[in-house]
Order: sequence, then structure tokens, then C-alpha cells
Amino acid sequence: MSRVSTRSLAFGLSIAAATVAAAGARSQQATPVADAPAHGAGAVPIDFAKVPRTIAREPAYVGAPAYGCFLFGLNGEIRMWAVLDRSKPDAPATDVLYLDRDADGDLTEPGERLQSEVDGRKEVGGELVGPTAVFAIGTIEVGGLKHTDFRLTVHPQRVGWKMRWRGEQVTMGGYAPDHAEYANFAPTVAAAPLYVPGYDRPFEFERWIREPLRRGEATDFKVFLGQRGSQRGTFSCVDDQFLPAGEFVVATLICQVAGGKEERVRNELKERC
Amino acid sequence: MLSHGPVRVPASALPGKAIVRVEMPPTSKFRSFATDLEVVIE
Repeated sequence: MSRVSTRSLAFGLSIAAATVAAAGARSQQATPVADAPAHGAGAVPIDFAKVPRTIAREPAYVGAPAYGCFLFGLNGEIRMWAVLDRSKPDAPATDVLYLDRDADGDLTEPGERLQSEVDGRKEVGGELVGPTAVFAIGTIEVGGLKHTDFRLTVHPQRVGWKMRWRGEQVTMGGYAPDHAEYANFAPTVAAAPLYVPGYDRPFEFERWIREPLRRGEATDFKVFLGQRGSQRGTFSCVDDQFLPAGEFVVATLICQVAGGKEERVRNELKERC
Repeated sequence: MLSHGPVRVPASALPGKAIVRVEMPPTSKFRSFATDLEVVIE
């Protein structure tokens, strides 16, 4: 199956079935059939301020918990909380993850406590750098969809994650224009970063590297393609191979010119990296 | 992970804050919510 047709599977609840059905219908009869749903149909921007920040049941934590949350569903209506903890009070770093795999708000259920055996820190220039813990979560099933190869990596100042959406293309986070702004899990539920994995919703964009633009020049402008999260550093993106050949992003500069007039300059971002 | 390309700034642009509006084109099979990214013109 080609990359494009594989990706088409991800667009709606039954796009693949609709496409196959449509193809079959076209081959058997001349009457037109309805096209598959458009990418992101039915999605609206998520109001993160209205996302309920409650966890119905939490375990007794050993250390100081750190909270994050993944929003699933076309409009982020399904919440999967993730909480980092320590296995013992004197553990050198975070090594336990509670993940509400079934998104029911109960973090005390069997199979929702994961232990990391990895401490990937290495001494560089007298400092310990690298991930303190890696949680190989594997497959999760939420909202009737299975996502695979879910992995959450804990660094001293940030948390990173990656999964194969519907077992297909990669989605990962959380990103920001600068490494230093990548989000970390928070000490309270109220402050927890909210991530929106996947690519079923209409795309949003985040800049990578905030450098000034110069008058009379062209500057290479880089953007992440994906979903905004609740705060800086929580952007979830697809990888650079996601868009099929021929697809590109449009970036329109809207600026003021002499005389107080507004000018718009349309640019096509066709490169990938 | 990134899409990129040149963004041209007119020589007549005034320095200061401006906006780059990023979106998928109407011809794309992908939809987007247009995202306004603040930039600085020097």
C-alpha cells in the first residue's frame, strides 16, 4: 500500500472503507457516490482553558508527582493523564510513570504503572546529560483507535514522546521554536501541559528557530506541522516525510510598508528537513 | 519534521513586528487552521 493511501486511512473514522466502497461502487455502476470525508472534517479549535483538569483517582505517590495530559478525539474530548513519580524516596531520578491508558480518570488500575529501567544520563563536561527515564508504553487504544510504539522520554528539563498514530505515521512532541522552551511535566494538575497527538485534525503550525527577517531579503522559514498544545513547548508534529510529493505549506508575510499600507507576500514552503 | 522555504520581505517593509500567516493551500487535500506567527523585521 502506498504512503498516500496509507495516510488516507487516518483521515476519518472510516475513510479507507469509504474509499474502497467508493472505488467498488464506481467499478460496478456509473452513478456517483459520496466522496470520503475531508481531512479534519468536524474539528474545531480546542479551547484549552475549558479542558477539565481533574483526575478521578490517583495512587499514593512516593515522590513529588509531575503531571501531563494527552488529548485524544477529534476535538480533544478524551483525556489521558500521565504522571511521573519515583519508585522510592531516594531514587536518583524519575523512574515511574502512571498512564491512564483507558482514559477513564483512574490512575490506580492494573497495567497503568510503568517502571523505567533506563537511566540514559551520561557525564559530559562534568554534567549529567541525557534522558533520565524511557518508558516503552507500546500500544494504547483510545477512542476506538489503536496507536502503537508509544514511548515517553524524560529529560531533566523536559518530557518528549512519540507514537505511531493508528499504527501508521509518526506523531511526536512537545516542541517549541527553541529547545530551551520544550515543555516539562508540571507539579500540579492545573499547570499540566496538554498535548494533542495525531494528524486527524486540521493542521496548525509552530515556528522553529525565531530569527528576524530582513528587509529586501529572503529568509529560510521553518515550521512544524501538527497540533498546538496548551502552552509553549507542547506542539505535536508529524515528521518531514508526512506530506506527499506536491503538497506544501503557504506562508504569507503580512507587514506594513511606507505610507502605512499593509502588504502581503505569499511564499510556498516546499522543502523538508 | 519541518517544512521550510524562503519568506521574502519587501525592501519597503517597515521594521518591527509583523505576521507570517501559515496554512495549507486550498488545493491541498489537508485542511488547516491558519496560524499567525509573530515575526520581527529588521
